[in-house]
Amino acid sequence: MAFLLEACSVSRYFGGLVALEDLSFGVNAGEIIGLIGPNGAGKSTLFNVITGFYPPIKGRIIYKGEDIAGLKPHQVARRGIVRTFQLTVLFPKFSVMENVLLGSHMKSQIWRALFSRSGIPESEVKRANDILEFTGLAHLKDHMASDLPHGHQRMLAVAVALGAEPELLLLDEPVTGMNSDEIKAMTNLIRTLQKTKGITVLIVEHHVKTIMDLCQRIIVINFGRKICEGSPDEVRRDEGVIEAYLGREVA
Amino acid sequence: MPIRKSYFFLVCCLSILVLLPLFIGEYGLMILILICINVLLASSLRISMNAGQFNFGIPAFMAIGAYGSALMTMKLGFPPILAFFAAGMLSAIVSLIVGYPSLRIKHVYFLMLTLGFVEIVKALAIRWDSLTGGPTGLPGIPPFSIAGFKLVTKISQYYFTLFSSLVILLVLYRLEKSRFGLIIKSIEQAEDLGETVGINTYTYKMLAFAISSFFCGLTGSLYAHNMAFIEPTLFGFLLAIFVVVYCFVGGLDNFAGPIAGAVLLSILTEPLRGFQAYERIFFAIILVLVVIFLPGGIISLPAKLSPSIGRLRCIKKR
Repeated sequence: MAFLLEACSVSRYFGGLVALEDLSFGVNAGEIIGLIGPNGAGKSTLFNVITGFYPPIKGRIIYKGEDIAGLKPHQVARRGIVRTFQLTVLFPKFSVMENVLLGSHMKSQIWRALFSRSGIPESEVKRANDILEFTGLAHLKDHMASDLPHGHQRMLAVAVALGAEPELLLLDEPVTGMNSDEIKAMTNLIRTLQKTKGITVLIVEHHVKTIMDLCQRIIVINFGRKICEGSPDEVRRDEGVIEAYLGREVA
Repeated sequence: MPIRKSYFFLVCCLSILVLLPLFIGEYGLMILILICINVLLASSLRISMNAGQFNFGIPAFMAIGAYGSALMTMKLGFPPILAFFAAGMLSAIVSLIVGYPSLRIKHVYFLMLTLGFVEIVKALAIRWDSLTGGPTGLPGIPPFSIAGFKLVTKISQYYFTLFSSLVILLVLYRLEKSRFGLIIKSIEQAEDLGETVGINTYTYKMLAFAISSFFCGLTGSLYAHNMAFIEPTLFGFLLAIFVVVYCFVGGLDNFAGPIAGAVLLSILTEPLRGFQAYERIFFAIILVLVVIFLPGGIISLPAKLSPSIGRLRCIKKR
């Protein structure tokens, strides 16, 4: 079965800095894949390259058989890939409801948008409410996004991404700064997304327990290169991975 | 209840505006027409500002509308009402040409490009004197005529301008409250997030710019056919600054902000008409005072004075 998303020898440089080097991996539909590595390994850069914030210098990104390298972010989103950001990015002056409504932008055409005098159609409001229920934010829907506590903000970021009805969801450190209850809620949410909605998830995370619990496969990168790929157990035992995180023991 | 209060307030204002000509003479009516013009300019700028764009090109598109409309009636024989709409379209089309390169690049360069464009248009108006009458301006612009009835008296011009302004403001208001307005405002807050969920921010920025320019063009036409005379120095850098100041002093968080700012500043600076230096100093002082003491603009004053209104506004701040 062909990969849903395949990175083929992707390289990205910023002047002399090698952010990604000859990186290749594949993601199957319906999987939850973890992407881990020390800070500065290139994980967020990889997300940026996949979603079109900047193109790869070398290599291809194949999504459902199409090379999407070099497309603009909104074009990548229209094909079904939606990402969240490492630092929480929301529309701060809008309410929670408005944030999610904007997320479902793609489901309304631009011309209807221009001439829709009666505000937002009922069906879209219902969809937004469903997403808010699903992510546990329904009771906050009229609050301003910037007023929310951190954990709720990160959940809202996922809710906004869900509004765009992604097939492939790229989550950049979704549980950063959350307490254990919130982490449990997020983990359950991701699992439910996979089981009931068939959404494929590629998740960058430092929280080891979350990655080990959730992911079928894990890809480890360091200095822009892939150093290991396999099941959680395989990765846990790999020498290269241990060295990357803990360093080599001086004999 | 606050909704009822706003309607009541609006109806009061409207009644006053309709009845005013009974009490003030021609000079006063001319001032009112100019205030309407300023209100329209400020509200047109608001669309760009909603998208986070400092659009300093407002005077240029007003000039295109004014000269375009005047020349279409004088040299091409268009009826003024047709020229009115055609001028708006002309400004919109030119804005798309200007916006095509300048909306792709960093925001601050867009600001500089629009300022540069103002100078270009002004220079064109001055040099191309066979077309525009050059630095001495273009006199004898025919007035609007409705069903053959020429609007020559200040009263008829006032009512026409008032009516047009209200219609334009209504359209702008609906635009802002629609999904389109929501998307535009999202660009100012988090452009990357918009892109992530499929919003082509470039297209929307172009649209906002074009719509803003369209209404500037209409405003230019209104000015030209009411004042019967236009000249290049009207549409300069200073006007760009003034319109921006109207918006800031009025307040950018509310649709009525630029309107309030334009009305207040137009009235306050009227005694200074002709004393250019003092006018500029006055604007500068007001701007600094507002930025320091009332950053939300005049429109935030009711919220600050009455806690209950403030609380209501807090939950749904747009």
